[in-house]
Amino acid sequence: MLIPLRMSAQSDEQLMKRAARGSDRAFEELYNRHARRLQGFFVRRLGDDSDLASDFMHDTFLRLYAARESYREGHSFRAWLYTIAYNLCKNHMRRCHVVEMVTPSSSSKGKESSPVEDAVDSSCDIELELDKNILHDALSSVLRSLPEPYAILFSLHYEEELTVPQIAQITELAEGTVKSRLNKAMKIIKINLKQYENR
Amino acid sequence: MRIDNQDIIRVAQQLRDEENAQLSVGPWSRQRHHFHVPTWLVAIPAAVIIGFVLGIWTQKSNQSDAPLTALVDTVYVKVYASQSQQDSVCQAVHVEQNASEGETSVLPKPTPRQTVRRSTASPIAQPAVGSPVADDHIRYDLLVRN
Repeated sequence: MLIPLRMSAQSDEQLMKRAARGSDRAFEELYNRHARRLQGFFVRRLGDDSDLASDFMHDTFLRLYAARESYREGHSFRAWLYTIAYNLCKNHMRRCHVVEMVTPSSSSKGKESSPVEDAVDSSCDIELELDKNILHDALSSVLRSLPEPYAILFSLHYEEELTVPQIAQITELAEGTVKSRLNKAMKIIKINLKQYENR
Repeated sequence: MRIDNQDIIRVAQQLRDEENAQLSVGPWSRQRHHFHVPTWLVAIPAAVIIGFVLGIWTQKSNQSDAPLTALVDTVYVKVYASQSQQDSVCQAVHVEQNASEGETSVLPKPTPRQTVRRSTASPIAQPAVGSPVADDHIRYDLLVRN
């Protein structure tokens, strides 16, 4: 006799498969699992605008719901979810003309690099001495000021815990490019944290 | 304390958890706006249905009143008249009476008040035959034939 697994015991992919077959309950379970974290991702990416973040999170799940029948078995649910979220962020930032997002052509020639980025290129390994309490507040402000091509990659990899191949799939970048940019992002963070060393 | 990549990642995740904990997220069922129906799509059929029901009710109401209406020959309509209207009605009645008594073809002009002669046959307290204006200041002379 087959005993159906409880919703909470099922993986995201199993739930998405059920949702694709028309189970609203399975989709609701996916929403309950990921909504908060996705909203947090949007809050950090859209500059602490919680209403806008809530709208974007909502929009992401609506798009996912509308396209649920096109879900292909074996594909990562989280990668799909964050692909939609990433594209929403990218479109929003394009509209606002705030920053240039990560695109294959964004490492274009003629683009002016910041002094910090120039320092990153010349530095090898950065040693950092900081008090733990200071690190918490310092990192909070440093992450907010991280330039956009690196900030979203840092967020996807270290905060949302997506793998490099998943990020490469989401951003349509080569895996090597993702790795090098993540490495550069970490260096920028360390350089910016340096100014908090002697406080 | 020396800070390495792992420390930065750990603190970044700690910050993420702190920020996420402060967020308020509504339930999924309340947020499904993709089944949103335009207001006009509800308002127009609702108005049609309400109009239809009211029409049927009015028709039935008229049908139920019809036998009662058939029994009543005359309907009196109460019209509250002001004091000035009462005077003018009384004058008109006197003028007509004078004209019929004297068998004159030309009626006196109503403009100057002094030229109208009051009939001696009718007392001042009850000025008009048929009392177009009653004591309760209601005119009963407007009759509607059914």
